[in-house]
This record gives sequence, C-alpha cells and structure tokens, in this order.
Amino acid sequence: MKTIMGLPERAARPDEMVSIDLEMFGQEEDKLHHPDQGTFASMQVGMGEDVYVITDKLDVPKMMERINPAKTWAMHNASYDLRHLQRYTNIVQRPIHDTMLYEKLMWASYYNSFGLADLSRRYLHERLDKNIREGFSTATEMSPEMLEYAAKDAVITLAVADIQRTLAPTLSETVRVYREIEEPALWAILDFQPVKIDVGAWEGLAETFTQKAAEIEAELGVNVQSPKKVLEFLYQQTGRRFESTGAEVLKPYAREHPVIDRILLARSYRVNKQTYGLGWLEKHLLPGDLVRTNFNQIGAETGRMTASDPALYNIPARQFPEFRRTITHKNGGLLICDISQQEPRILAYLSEDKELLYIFRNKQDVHLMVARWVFNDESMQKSDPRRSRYGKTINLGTSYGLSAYGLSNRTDLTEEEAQAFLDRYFKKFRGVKAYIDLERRKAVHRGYVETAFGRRVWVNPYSKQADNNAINSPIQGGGADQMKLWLSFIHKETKSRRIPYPVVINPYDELVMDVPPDMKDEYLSIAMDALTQVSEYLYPGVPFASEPAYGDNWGVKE
Amino acid sequence: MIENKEVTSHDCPVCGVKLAVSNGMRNATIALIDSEIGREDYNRGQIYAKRYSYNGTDRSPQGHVIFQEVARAGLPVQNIMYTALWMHPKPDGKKTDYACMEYLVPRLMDEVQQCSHILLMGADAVSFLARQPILYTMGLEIQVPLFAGKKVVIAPSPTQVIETTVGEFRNALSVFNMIIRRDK
Repeated sequence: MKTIMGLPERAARPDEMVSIDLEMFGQEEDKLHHPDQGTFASMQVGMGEDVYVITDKLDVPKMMERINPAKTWAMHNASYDLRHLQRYTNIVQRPIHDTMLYEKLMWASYYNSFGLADLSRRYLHERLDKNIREGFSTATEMSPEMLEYAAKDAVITLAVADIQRTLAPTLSETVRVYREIEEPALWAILDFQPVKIDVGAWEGLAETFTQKAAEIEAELGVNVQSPKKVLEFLYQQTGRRFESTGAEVLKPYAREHPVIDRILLARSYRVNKQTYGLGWLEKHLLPGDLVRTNFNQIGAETGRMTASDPALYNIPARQFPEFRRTITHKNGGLLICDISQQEPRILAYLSEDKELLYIFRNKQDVHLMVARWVFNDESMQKSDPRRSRYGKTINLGTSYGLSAYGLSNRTDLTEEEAQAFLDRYFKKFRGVKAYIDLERRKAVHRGYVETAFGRRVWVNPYSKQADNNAINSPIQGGGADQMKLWLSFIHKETKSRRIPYPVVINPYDELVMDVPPDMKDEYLSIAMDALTQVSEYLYPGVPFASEPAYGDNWGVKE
Repeated sequence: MIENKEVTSHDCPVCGVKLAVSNGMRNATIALIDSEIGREDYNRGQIYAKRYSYNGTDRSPQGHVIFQEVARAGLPVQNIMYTALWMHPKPDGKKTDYACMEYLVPRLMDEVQQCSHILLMGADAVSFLARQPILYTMGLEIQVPLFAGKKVVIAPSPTQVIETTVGEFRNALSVFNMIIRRDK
C-alpha cells in the first residue's frame, strides 16, 4: 500500500471496506476513554491500494464525506477511535468491523492478547512494533516515523479485517453474535453517561474508615498494618504461630478466635480508605463531580463487560454497602434494574432441567426450593437462613462447577456433608448433572463451549480450571449476551423516541440509569419491555424477572 | 528418546548447583528450547521427565503440554531434542544479571549445534538468546545471530500454556512445523 498525505480524491464505493485509525497527542494512558483528552494528531484511512493520512482536524469532516458511502468501516478497538472522532464530526450508527471484538469472539480464551500487534503476528506473520506509540503522549507534531507507524496501523487493520471476513462462512455463529450483540452494544456503551459521585459522602466515608480502624486498633492494642506486630499479638492471643497475616491464612481460624475477624475488619477499613480515599477522588473526579469509567466491552473471556480507570464495579459493595450510596444522580434519581437469579435461569434453559424450569415457570423462589429439597424440609420459609446460606450457595455454585470441597469452604458443612448435599441436589436436578457432563465432554472433544446464542469460549485443556470453565462459560457468557442485547434494545428505543439514553453503568446483571422522576415510569417501561423481548429471543420458555428500584443512589436496592 | 541418550548430569560451574539433563533424540535436527526446567523435572533430573503419575499421564505438567502439542502439530517426534536455557533453578533475588549465563548459553549452543530448526520457548530463552521481546515475536520466524544459519521460531513456554491459554503455543508450533516441512 502507498501512503498519501491528504484526502482521497474519490469517495469510497458502496461495496467497499475501508479501515480507519486515529492517533492523538498528549493522552494519559489511563484516560484514553475521556472524550476530551488529548489533541488531534492524525487520521488514517486505508482504501483500496492506498492509505490516506490527514494531520489537520478540520479535514476530518471532509474525510468522513469520502468514506461514508463505504459498506463497512474496519477499525481496531473502534470505541476509542469513534469516541474521539466524535469530537471533530458527527458520526451516526453504522456497520463497523471491529477487528479486536471480532478476534475476541473467535478466539476467547484461546488467545489472551488481542492488540493489533498480536493480530499482525498471527494473521500476517509480521512484527508490528508499538514502542513508537509512547512518543505520542509528549509530541505535538507528527515525525516521519510516527506517520509511517500510523499508516501501517490502517494497512494492517484492513488486511486483518479482510482475513477475518474470509473466515466468516466457517464461523456463522460468531458472525451472528458480532452483528446482533456486540456491534449494537458498541454504540450503546459508547453513549454511556458519566456517573455522579456524592463527594461529601465519599470524603466522609474515608474519614469514618480511618476512625473505625483506629478504634479497633485501640481496642486490640495493635497496629494492624504491621504484620510483625500482628503475628506477635496473635501468638499472645491464640497461642498459635501463623506463618503470615494474609486473610486466607487467618480466616479459617476466625471462628475459634474472634479477634481475627476484628483484625481483618480493621485492616479492611485501612485498605479501603487507602484505595478509595481522597486520592481516588483526586485521580478520577471530573468537573461536576462526575466519574467516567472505561468499559471494556469484552473484558472477560466469557464476553462479560468489565470496567477500569476507575474499576467502579470493584468497590467493596458487599462488605461496605455505604460505598454504593455515594454513587448518585445528576438528573433526579437512579433507576436500577437487575435480572433476578440470572445465572440459575440460564442454567435452566441450557440444561432443560424439568425441576428448575418448573420452579421458574411457577415463579417460585429457586434458592428456597433447593434448600427445602437438600434439607428435606418442606416447611422451610423464605426467612430461614438456610435458604441463603445453602440454597443460594448451591444454586450459584452449580454454575461454577462447585465441588464438595468448595461448598464446605463456603459454608460450615464438612466435606462429607457437602458431598451428601450435592448428591441430593443432583438426584433432584438430573438435567443439571447431564448438562455439566455434556459441557465437559464438549470442551474435551471440540476444545470450546458455546452460549445458547452461539458465543464461543475456548477451554484450555491444560488449565486446572478447564472443567469449571466448560460449565460456567456458557452460563456467564449467556448472561453477557443478555445484558448487551438488553442495553442495545434500550439504546435503540430511546433513540427512536428521541429521549436521552440514560445508562451510566452496567455492573454484571444490573443496569443503572440516571433519569428524572417525571420520566421514571417511561424508562422503566422501556427497560422492562426490552428485558422481556430479549429474554424471549435468547431463552424462550424461561421467564426472567427484575425487581427494579428508584432512588437517590445506587444503594437503593440494598 | 534421550532417556537413551548418554547424557550425564553435572554441576553448574558458576553457582555449583546440579544441572538436569535434556530429553529427546540423540543427533536430532530439531531443538525445542524452553526457558527453564520445571520444579518437578528438576527434582527428577531431566527435562519433561517421565514419572509414574501426573493427571493420568506419566509426564510432568510441562512435559504433558509439550508431548501432547508436539504430537498434535504433527512434528517429527523422532527427530526432536528437548532442552532448556536454565537447567537448574534460577538464583533467587536476581532479575537480569545472571552470572550463570556465561556457562549456560555456551552449554546450550554446544548441545544444539547439529540442529537446523529451533523453537525458543518463553521469555528468558527469547531475551537471553535472541535479544528480542517475546510479546512482539511469538509465532514468528526471526533471525538470531547466535543461531546463524538455523531457522528459529518463537513460542511461549509450556508453563505459560498451563497458566494462561494454549493458542499462541499452537500457533507457534504450526508455523514451526510449516517451516520444517518447507525445508525438508
């Protein structure tokens, strides 16, 4: 391919695929997803036999005019390029061939890196050195080496996209997952709004955590941050010499020595204060008390989305629910819709287990029903702690290949008791047992497993987790399919109604939307209709339910 | 297999630690060079050594990966030597300044002298022998001055396969096999 500085003379043909790549100056590595970060460096377009490079942002709309007729735009990690191109021109939703998303769909868990340099090695047997990229953070003008690098990115993206498309006929399910789920989700995620933080509450939490840690330390008379002192203290208190102060070492002795729980709690306060204290705000807070998270569309091998910079989903919501209460609204309230018992429902669909299907079709509480069965106690009520402690643990654990050892670790059961519980569970839910055996065999014979919709996840036969991954990937991946399709339906519907798209975050099985009180009912109806449609499409015959909540903050669902 | 090869173990003259021995065929023209020997193999005294039981196979975890994947890729198994750069455990607490290299690299060069095709596996083998970053070169044929005249392909180590994914390893073996067949 020949590199040409300037705009192409011709417009792209309607049957043509062109590649697009964007370079920016002055961006910080952990803020690439901020739409106001950095300044325009260059835009490269691979078209036909040539690469066209422009270095003036004012030329972007003209370049867009030339390439708009093209059937498909090939991009690598399109969310980055689209997010920043939108600063210079209006881009409407259109077909994109994202070589990174495509590759992740084809080879999830078969490969573990999906950068353009990786694809260049694998498809073109060509080394692509990305070291020059670092220069863009400090440069203000394109050097000849930078131009060459930029042009090469566009060339490689087009070549890789071409090869991926030639593989498409052999991967019809993958193409379907891309077109129906990932491609629309790309646009839905791109339009996520930043989330608002209650800064006062966040600061107060940091202060409270420091106080609480200090109180426990004063009560115990030990600095919990000093492993040496904690070991000495524990020896005095328990008469046992621990090899380290790690939670995994201490936790098994917590029941015997309650002082261990106090130490671990004080340490959690300290750690969380350090991780989510004022430094966190300083690093991530934008004007208007907003935080913009980087959403990795296929963050996990199963297709599940992850968030980073900041990793908002990792805030310790279970141990310290106060954190969720600091995530608030800018438009009047947060509408939170989740999918109740999503994974057990997907398991019911995949396994076609008659008992599980009966439970969900008759709107029964699956955790209660399982607890009743394993305890052989039909009178057990929803408020019974055994429902959550054992019923829920078994239900959720089954999707991860829970063993007797695992169940014993999560509960107070001995391994023998746990085995007896699992035996009893599988005696009732025979379809689930058959599903587990079948998926494991599929993983061995084909090397991969699939979600109901056809998302493929490879299973590394040498991994200790192979058996569990074979069971879990279709379930967790099926959850990702459902969530992304749900997002896309809401995105499409809000666009067609010409109302703002309100999603701010999408943690696993939840959608959090920032909506004004007077529009709450409309958004709720859109979300619930979309969930019904998506569920009937993906998992016909299995009802899915949600318990939505509306309030001042993310903690409203507690 | 070199279970038959007349190899004898001796100590690393730099650090004095006992060395394990290679595996595979005497006078092989294909060498698979791992970065370091696995702990179990080191205890056994031979890379990818046989043992009575591991996960239903008789190989160490790394050996299990290697032998399965080599067979899967269709490499000529009767013509392969298996060895490693580190034939004893790495000295503790050092990252890059390894005095043992003064002995280990020439030892290895001598060992694979007759080989025409080499698969370098893992970060240490690639950085010490090829002076290249493994991330940019996996699955590629590269020029290595140290192995002038030999065909060299880069792969992740079997240990990485166990800990991460199998794709890059299979891809590298497939490229390696293609080159061997082309040169036949």
